[in-house]
Amino acid sequence: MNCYAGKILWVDLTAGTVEAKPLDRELIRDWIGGRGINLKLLWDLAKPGIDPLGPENPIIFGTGVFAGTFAPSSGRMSITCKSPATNLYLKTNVGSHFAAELKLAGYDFVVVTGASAEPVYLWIDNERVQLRSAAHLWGLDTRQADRVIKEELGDSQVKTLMIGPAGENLVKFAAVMASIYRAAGRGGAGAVMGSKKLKALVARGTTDLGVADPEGFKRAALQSRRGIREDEYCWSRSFLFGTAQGVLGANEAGTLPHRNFQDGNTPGGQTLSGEYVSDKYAHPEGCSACVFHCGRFSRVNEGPHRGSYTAGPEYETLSSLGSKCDITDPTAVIRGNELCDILGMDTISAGTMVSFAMECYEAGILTSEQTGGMDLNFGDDKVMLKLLEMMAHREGFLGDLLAEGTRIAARRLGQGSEAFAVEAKGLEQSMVDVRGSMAYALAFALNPRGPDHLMTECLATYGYTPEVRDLAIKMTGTEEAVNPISPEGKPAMVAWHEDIYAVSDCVGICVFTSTWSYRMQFDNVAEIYRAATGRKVSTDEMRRIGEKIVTLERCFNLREGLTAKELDVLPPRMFVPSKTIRNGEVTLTPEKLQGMLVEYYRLREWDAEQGTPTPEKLARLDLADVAEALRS
Amino acid sequence: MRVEVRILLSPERVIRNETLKLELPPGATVRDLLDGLPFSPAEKRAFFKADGSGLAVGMGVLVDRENVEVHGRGLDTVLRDGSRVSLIHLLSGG
Repeated sequence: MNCYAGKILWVDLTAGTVEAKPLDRELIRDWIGGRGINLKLLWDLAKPGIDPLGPENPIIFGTGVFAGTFAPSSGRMSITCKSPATNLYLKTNVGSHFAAELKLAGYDFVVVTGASAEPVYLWIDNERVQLRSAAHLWGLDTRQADRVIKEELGDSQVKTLMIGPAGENLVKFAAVMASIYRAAGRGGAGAVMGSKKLKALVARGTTDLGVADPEGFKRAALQSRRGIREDEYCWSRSFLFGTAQGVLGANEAGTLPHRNFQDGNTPGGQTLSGEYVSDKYAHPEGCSACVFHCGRFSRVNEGPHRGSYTAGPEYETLSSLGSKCDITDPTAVIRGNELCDILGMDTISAGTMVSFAMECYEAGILTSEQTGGMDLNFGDDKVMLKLLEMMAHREGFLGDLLAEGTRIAARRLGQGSEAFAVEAKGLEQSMVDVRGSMAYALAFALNPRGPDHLMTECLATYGYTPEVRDLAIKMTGTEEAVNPISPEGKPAMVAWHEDIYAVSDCVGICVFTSTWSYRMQFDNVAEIYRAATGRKVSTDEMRRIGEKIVTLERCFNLREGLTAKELDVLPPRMFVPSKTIRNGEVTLTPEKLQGMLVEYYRLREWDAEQGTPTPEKLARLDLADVAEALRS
Repeated sequence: MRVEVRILLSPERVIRNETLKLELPPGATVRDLLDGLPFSPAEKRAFFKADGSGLAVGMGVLVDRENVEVHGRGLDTVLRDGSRVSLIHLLSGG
C-alpha cells in the first residue's frame, strides 16, 4: 500500500480502548484519503440529529496521502466531525508537521468516538499507543501543555495537536492547535475534543514510507515544486509577506472588513499590511514540505505589547482582530493572535464576536451593566484583548454569551442585533467582503460548513497574472470571469474550485499550490498520486472524486433535515450596500445570488428547484446508497 | 483638475505610504498620470514591464477603488477632478 501507512487507529474514549485496523482498500479506491475518507467515515458513523458535543459525535483526524513526502506543501491534514457551531458538517484543515509525524508513526487516520470521564491525551509512539491521563494538563494553555508533555515524554521532537482552555470550556469556535501555533480553526472542532475530555494527540513517528515509483515520484514532485517556485509573482509575494500581502490592496479597493463589515476601508489601515508587519515584526516559516513559507512568526520588542510572540498574523487575523474592530496597531493584533493560539480559539470567529459586541454596545443593545462597566468602543485594543480572554474562559455574562457564537448571542440579545451578526448557518464569515466579489458570494453561500474561503477560495476571479486570467476564462468560458462584480461564469468557477479543494485536501497539499499559484491542478495531482501509490487514477477520475466529495458533504447537511433554501444563504449584512464598494451601489441582491445558485445546481446536474443532487446524479457518482438514505 | 495619488508600495518591500495631490489637465488619463510621476529607476523596474508597455505582472491601478482593467479602459482610463488613484498588488485574500 504505497504512500499510505495502511492503518486506521480507532479510539473509543468511553471504553478507554485503542485498536489499529487495516485501512480498507475500497475506501482508498472511492475516496482517495484525507478529507474524502474522513467524510465517508463521518457519514457512516454520525447518525442524523446527533448532538455535536455528545459522545456520539465522532471526530476524525486524516492525513493527506502525500503527508511525509516531499510532494509540494504536503503537510496538511483534515479534521472532520459534526460542528457545534452549525450543527452541520465540518471539515477543518491544518498545516504544521503533525500529519507527517502521524503518517510516519504508521497511521493514516485516527477515529475518536465516545467520551472519557476524565481528561486524557493520546500518545502515539509508532506502534505503541496509549491513552494517558491529562488531569494535570486540563486548564493549561497550549504553550504550557505542549511544554509539560514534551518534558514528561522526554522528547522535545514529538508533535502535538491539542486544545486550549476554550476547547475545554466548549467555546463554539474553539480551535485544534497543531504545534501550538497552527490552527484547525473553523467550526469548533476544539469544543468537540473538549466534550470528549481529549486534551491532545501527541505523535512520534520514525517508520519508513515507500512510494510505488520512486523515480517517477521524484520527477513529478520536483517538477511541481519547481513550477511553483518559477511563478515568481505568487511565490515571492507569499514568501515575503505571507497571506497578509492582500491587506493593502483590499483596503484600497474598499473590501477589507471595517467596523464589523459596515464598510471596507480602515483609515490608517496600512499598518496592518503584510509589507508593514513583515518589515517590523515577522519572519517567514513553513509547514512540512512547504514551497511557499507563507507562514509568519512575529515578535513584539517594544511598546505596550512587548514580549508577545506567536505565529501569524495572517490576513484573516489582521482584519478580524484589527480592521474589523477598527484597530490599526499591529502589535495589538499580534497579542490578540497569541491569546487565540494559546487559549485555542479561531481568530476569525473570535474577532467577529468582538466587533459584534462593539456594534451592539454602540447601538445601545449591550448595556454597561451587561459589560461589567466596560466601554466596548470600536478601536479600543484593550477591550479586544480582554474580550478574547473572557470568551475563552466563559467569564461573566458577556464572556459566556460571546462564547456561544454570533447566531446564539444575537438570538439571546434580540433588539435587532441579528442584523449585526455576520454569520450564516451559525459560522462567522471570514474576512472577504462578498459584496465586491460574486464568486465568493456564491462560494460562501454554498460552503457546507458556512461562509468562509477555505473550502473554495476563488482567487482566479482577480486575474492577477496572465496565466491566472487565462485559466479563469478557460474554466468558465467567459471573459467576465475576471470581472468580480459580474455573476457571469461564477457558478462554473465555484464548482471548479470546490472540486480542486476537495482533491487537494485528500492528498494533503496546501491549497495555495492548487489555487493562488494554480500550479497543482487535477493533472499534476493525478500524476504525482500515480507515481506515489501505483494506482492508475486518471485526471478525470481525480476531478470526479472531488465532485463526489462535494456532493456527499451536501448530502450530509440535507440528511440533517435542512433544505437548500436554509443552507444556501449569506449573512443579511451582505445584501446591504457598502459605501466603499462601487460608491455604495447595490452589488449583491438575494435575486442575484439565487440566479447564480440555480445555474450552479444546473451545472452540478442537481434538481434546479430543490437544490438537491438527483438520484440519477448520485448513482453516476456511485452514491446510490446515499440517495436511499436521503429518501428515508 | 486635481487628483489624489496614493503610492503605498516600494521596491524595497516596505510600505511607502505616500499620498500626493497633483494638478492635471482635463482629459488626462491614468497613463498620463503615471508618466508624470517621479518614479526612481528601481520603482520603474518593480512596477512596470521592462519595455515600458504597461504595469508589471500582478500590479494594478485603482481609480476611486475600481480596477481600471475591469471597470475602466485600462491605462487609457480618463481621470476626473477629485479622482483617487492607487497603485496596488491585485492579489488579495487569506
